[in-house]
Amino acid sequence: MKAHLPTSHSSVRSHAEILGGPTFRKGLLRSLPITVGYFPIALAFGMGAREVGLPGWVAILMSATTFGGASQMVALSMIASGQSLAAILFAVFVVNSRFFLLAMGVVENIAHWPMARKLTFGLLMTDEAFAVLKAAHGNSRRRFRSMECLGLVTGPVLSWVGATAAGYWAAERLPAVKELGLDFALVALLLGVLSCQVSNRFQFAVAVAAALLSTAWTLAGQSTLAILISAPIAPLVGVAWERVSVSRRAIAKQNEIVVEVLHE
Amino acid sequence: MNSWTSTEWILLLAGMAVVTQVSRLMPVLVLGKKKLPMQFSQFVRFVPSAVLAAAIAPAILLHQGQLNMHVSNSFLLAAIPTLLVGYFSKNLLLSVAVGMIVVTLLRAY
Repeated sequence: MKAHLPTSHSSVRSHAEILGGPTFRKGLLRSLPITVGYFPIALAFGMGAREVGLPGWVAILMSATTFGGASQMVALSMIASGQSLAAILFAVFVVNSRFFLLAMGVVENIAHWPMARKLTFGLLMTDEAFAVLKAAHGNSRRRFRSMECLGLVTGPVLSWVGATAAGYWAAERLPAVKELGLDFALVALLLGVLSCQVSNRFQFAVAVAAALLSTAWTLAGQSTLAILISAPIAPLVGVAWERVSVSRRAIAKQNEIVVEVLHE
Repeated sequence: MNSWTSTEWILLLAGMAVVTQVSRLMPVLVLGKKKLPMQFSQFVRFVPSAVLAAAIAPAILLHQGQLNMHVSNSFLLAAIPTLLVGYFSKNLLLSVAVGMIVVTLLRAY
């Protein structure tokens, strides 16, 4: 570890102390809605994996290493319909390439972290964690506290992997669980995150544009491309509208506020 | 039921992890501390709203590939309270719970 890193004071403390520290716990607490929200979705995934005929270790390891709900569901349905390994990997890549855009969105906020923490956070980042962070910090370039962010992504991954195992185990024992609106859980989670994310009329316009574009692409039979095409185009609506209705200074301020988050 | 071998399962797991984590890690590893241009920062602020809306809209508005704006569409009906509760309370768990309860009730009656 380089001694001149700005965060070197924290690396002096023991690992266990940092993981149990108040900042980490604050992140864990903030992850609670995501952690709880992932549980029924991963439960449904675990059950589906058993139905499709995945070995238990494959279902659990997939949740731990890919950790992306939409892509895992896509993979499951493609395995069930007998598609090739290459086709599945391509579909997973397309669905998850949105993580590139999300990671771009936090790169400035975590630039000052030690590399090990950046990698850990990067591997465990999801749409929901991203949205919670951006909602809490007002989409600014404020520096994120590393241990709080690591706490925020630890709860969800444990819940995701644990519930995958639980769902796989329960698949044959509790068939009635399937009828509790679990298929709406993922949609409800994403809707909840979106409604917390939309903070002004520009964000609202972008969401409407993306919804229309993506629906149109799906209607045209291009459902795999729907997110990939809409994600880069729809933000242009917000960019253009913000440019004509707000001063350049206000935009720059929105972009460039760098505030060190205060210690509690 | 499929007939995949252990090797094929391992290839699937490794392949999925690689194509997913490359997208997650590339910006962190490649960009590092470089400053992004102002236009790009402004663009990126709008990306999450776009990605989320694009992921959800077809799941709510379409049914078996057809546009379904009818009251029989339980996802569409449940989406309204989910969005409103989320927007006004800014409470993720509450809005998810409301959405799932509404869907379950709509199916029961």
